Amino acid sequence: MGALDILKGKFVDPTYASVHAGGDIITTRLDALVKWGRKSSIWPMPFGTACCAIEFMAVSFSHYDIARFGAEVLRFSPRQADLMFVAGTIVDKQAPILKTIYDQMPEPKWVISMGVCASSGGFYRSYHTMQGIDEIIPVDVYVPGCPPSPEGLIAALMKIQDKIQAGQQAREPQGEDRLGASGAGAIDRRQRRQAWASDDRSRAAEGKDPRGVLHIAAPVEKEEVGGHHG
Amino acid sequence: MATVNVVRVERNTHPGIYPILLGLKITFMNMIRTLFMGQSATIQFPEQKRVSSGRYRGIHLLTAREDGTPKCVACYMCATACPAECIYIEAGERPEKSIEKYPTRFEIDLLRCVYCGFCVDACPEEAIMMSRENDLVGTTRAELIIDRDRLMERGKLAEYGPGYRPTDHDVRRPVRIAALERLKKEHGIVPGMPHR
Repeated sequence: MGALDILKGKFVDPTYASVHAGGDIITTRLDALVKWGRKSSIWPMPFGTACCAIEFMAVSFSHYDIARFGAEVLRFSPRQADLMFVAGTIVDKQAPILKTIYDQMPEPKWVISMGVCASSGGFYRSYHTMQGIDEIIPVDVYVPGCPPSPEGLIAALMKIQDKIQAGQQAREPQGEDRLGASGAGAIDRRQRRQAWASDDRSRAAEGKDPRGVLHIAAPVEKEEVGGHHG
Repeated sequence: MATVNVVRVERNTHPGIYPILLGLKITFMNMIRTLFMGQSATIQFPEQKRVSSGRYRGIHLLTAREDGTPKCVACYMCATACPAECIYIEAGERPEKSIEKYPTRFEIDLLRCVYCGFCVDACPEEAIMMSRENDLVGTTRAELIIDRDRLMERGKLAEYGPGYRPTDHDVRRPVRIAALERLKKEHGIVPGMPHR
């Protein structure tokens, strides 16, 4: 490994073969040093779309002070960040934006999915909300809560630090492997919705109700002549 | 015509260095307080926990009977009340006639739960309550679906303390009792099931 490689930053890539293949001791020590430096100076970017972003402010202020973990340099440009906090509901319209911003972050990068809306859609089991951002981007740590407490967020940050130390990083969106997924992600859901809509339209053209409507024969009460009013 | 009182502010006068020093005094006082007097506002989180209210709504717990079985009778009240539909229950049969059912599976998807406490309010048996545990994170979704055995774990309760539960923190209970007594005394009404 030459000086040029070090300048290029090749030695810091945890997947770079010669680092772990029992190479020279200098590079492995250097790798550990770089990991230590990296985990102690995380530059997070808050992708806040809802109330979780307000709770994120509490983490960055003095009571919970994420500067103690070296993560106080909040960057609002993805090109300068290496950790993204996805805080808030991600609707289908926002999904391409989130994906773009994730792609703009330089490698290596980590993602914390903060709160139930970002992690699974929360109680928005609805046609317009992403059922978890892991449909489109890889997620390293999920934090439950609505919104999560600052303690939970700090615990997530410490877990990210552990992952950096171990050289782990989520590479793939969990997609259809994730729990409770019905189909292979957002695009599939959109196609399904369109299929349902066209089915409803074709049935309406035939004069039928949509498929979801149950027809229960309700007993019709016979009206009494001259009975009580109301 | 209404008259408006106009206050004139002399914006071009030079206040000098005094206001800056005033501000710096506050800054330095805070610095001294934090560094030397031990009055820092920061909570050193992993070692030191913030003291939260006894009604804090953290991660759920299932309470147990004396013999260690869950108090839950699998009535699905909590699952029905849940706005996020995050509770999944499967019922099994118990030999006792007074209990009849118990949950063979009781799972809460924490990545759906919004910690509203409606399940605690809905429970007729005081079987589900909340702890003050609030720093659970996971790297996969499956990690954060907690099952019956994890919900019945008592160690967490000792560590974090009990949170929202119906019995001890029903602040409206005296009000309700007073209202019932007044109904009975003044109107002769005892609310309950209607007589057929």
